[in-house]
Amino acid sequence: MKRIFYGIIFLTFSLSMLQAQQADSLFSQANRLYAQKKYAEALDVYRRIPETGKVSAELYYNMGNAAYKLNKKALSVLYYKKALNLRPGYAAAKHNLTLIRRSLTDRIEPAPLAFHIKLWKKWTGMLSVGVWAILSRLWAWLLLAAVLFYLYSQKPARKRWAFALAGISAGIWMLTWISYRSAKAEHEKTEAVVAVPETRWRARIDTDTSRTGILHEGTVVKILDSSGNWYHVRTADGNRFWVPESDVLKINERY
Amino acid sequence: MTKRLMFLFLWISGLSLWGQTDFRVRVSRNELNKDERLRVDFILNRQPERFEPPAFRDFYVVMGPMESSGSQVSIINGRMQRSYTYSVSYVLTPMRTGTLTIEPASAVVEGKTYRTKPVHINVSQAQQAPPAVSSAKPGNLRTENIPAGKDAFIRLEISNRRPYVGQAVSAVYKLYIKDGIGVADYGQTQIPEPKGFWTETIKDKPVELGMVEKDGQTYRVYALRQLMLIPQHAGKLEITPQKIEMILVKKVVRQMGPFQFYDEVPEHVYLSTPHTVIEARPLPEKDKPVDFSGAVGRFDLFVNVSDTVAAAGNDLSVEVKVTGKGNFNMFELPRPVFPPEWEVYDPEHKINTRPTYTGYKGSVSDLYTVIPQKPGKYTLPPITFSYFDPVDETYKRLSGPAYNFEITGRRVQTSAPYAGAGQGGFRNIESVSRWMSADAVPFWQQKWFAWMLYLPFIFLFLVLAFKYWQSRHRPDEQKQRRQRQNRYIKSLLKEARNHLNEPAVFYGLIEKALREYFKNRLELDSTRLHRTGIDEALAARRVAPEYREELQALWQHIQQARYAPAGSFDTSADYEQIRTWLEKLDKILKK
Repeated sequence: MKRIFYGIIFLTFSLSMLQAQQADSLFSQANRLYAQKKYAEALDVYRRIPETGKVSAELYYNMGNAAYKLNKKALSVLYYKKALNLRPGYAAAKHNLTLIRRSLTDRIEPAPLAFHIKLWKKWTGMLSVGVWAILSRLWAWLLLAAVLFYLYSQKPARKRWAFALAGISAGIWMLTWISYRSAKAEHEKTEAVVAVPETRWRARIDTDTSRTGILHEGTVVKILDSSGNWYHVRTADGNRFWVPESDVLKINERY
Repeated sequence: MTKRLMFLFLWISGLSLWGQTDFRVRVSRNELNKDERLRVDFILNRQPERFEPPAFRDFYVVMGPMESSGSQVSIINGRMQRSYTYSVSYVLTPMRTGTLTIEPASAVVEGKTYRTKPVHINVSQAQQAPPAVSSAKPGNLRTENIPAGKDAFIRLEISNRRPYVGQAVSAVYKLYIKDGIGVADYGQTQIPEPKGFWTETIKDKPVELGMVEKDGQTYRVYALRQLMLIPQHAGKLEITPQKIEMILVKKVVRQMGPFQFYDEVPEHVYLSTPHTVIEARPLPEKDKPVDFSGAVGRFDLFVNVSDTVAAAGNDLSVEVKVTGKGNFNMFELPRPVFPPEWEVYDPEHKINTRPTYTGYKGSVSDLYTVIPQKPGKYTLPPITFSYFDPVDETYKRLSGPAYNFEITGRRVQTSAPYAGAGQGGFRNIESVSRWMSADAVPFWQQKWFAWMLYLPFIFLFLVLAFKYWQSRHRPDEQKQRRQRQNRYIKSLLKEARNHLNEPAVFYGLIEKALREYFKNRLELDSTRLHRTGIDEALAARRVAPEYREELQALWQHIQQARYAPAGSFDTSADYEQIRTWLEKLDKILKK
């Protein structure tokens, strides 16, 4: 039994090692192509890496660079966004993304946020979702311990302490839990990039085509809803449009 | 108002004054080409109760119906005669060639129906192919040679007919209408496309400009379109005529006794501007500056630098801004010459201009973001910008200041292995990757992790529920006491078991336990807590005699062991015996 168990562990471990080796060799091969300025070939090799079962923020960052060199702005924005999804504070990816944004046709300034929302975003952004998740669980158990201690302690002095402890941990638990939910929602939001040079948006998907306009390649939108072949999206400045599904690429999906 | 007054008048003068009802049709021509128009009027000398136009099956109605009415008073041979005219007019264009018919129209006057005679029109083939654009719709047919009356005319006003290439001129289409004439309908048949110009519309809607005196007449003036034109190359540039089709309504005042009546007479006119030629002059070659990039107008140059002292690796911004008036969008902004050690990003190009009569007004700027990589002292040479001033007819040069930068700190390393892609200030690719599984669900998205949150709360709920249940089912005093005593007896027996090797202590404890047991179970007070007392109590409880005998034997055995410890005692066997006996008795007593 033990042998089988170790065997399985060994197998999965070695499989993972094998995948990593394969990914590493493809990665360095693509990097060499990139150094030789064969960007299209490099991008092709990079795109084969996720098929090995491995991905990384660095991989998507390099893919973004290659796409940028090929002047494929939408793809480039998409890859940088994917890199940033895997590692939210990735400085190089952020930097190159701002560079691309400067060359985009649509210069959408994010709508200014209220002070308290800004503060809250800063707070939840301080830790990653995983850390918030652990903290919220940890404080839930601490809260349980404090309540049990309160219920079963006999001495009044101890009961008082236990009560105070339970109150404080309940407060902290609430805070960590709400932060976790907020960070998770931010992490799971579905974003998309306009992939065609121009997409004609509509204010409504029905026959009303009176209010319409154009979003240009590389614009990042947040998907709110979908209906038929249309997505209801929101741009950074808070405007809502309907755009054809085929004109955008979802960031969460594999390409 | 006119009609009401008229009815009042008719009522006063009496209907007998009126002669026979006369309903006629009149056409402007009986023969025409297929692409021409004709006008048809239905004239009635009474106010009809109802008028029904013909179906016009062979014609397109270009305009109409135009309804008008009026009355006239004439004195002939000392006799006053009143006449009244009601007319409905249409402008028609034929659908096909051949002999076409305008069907009768009908009118109801005083309950009687009158009809006009049908009219036959001969339509021949168009003499020349109509222009492609205007033949598409019947409303846009080739214009007839109706001369534009003096009632209205349009003019194209050009601010400068000999501008330089790049110098903006204004073109305003002005419509003059004689005062007192109204406009019933208005349409532009041909919108000119100025060729060789950069055209920007300043205003596309008619604007009333006021009154103007011309040739002894007063005209109302409208600006129909206002354009800004910038010649793109030298030479004779032509602006094709603008054609306008409109229906004017003339008001004719008739005095009749103390009353004034207005007749509204429609007039169909075609207006056109003449061919206009603008001669664009080339910019002088003489003294043309090296850094001239095509700017014509009057400009100012501003250069802004965010900081002149910075640490290496930090970004600086340099803004080059040109403000003023001229042909913005048609020249390039000067590019600063940055030290080669600096990373320079593509500039952010901002345009903030609006068209005016004399060119675009506003500003255009380039915002460069640069990152000095190496510490040291750098100089940014002055930025120069040359433009041509068409008013002074000379070239002018503007020059910004030179900037001296002091870059401190340490050299910034660019990622070494794949250098060469650093142009454009672009961060290089990574050479090392930290892999993670492509399909792995992060631990915090897995089910078990969610349960880690639910579990403490479920547990807490269970504990609280248990506590509540406990408070609801609190055992009574007696039961509690018995439980306490049971516990005490158990503890005595347990202690006895620990003293199996010391028979004196062992049997002492066993006896104590038994006494406690009977005291508790049989509810005996201490005065009756002896062998006979216990036996009686057991008998009262109807315990079978064999048990009672067994108990007596046990007592005997214990007494012997305690007070006459002769011989050896098997303490462990006794312990087991007593325990089983007590269990048995428990069961009996519980019944």
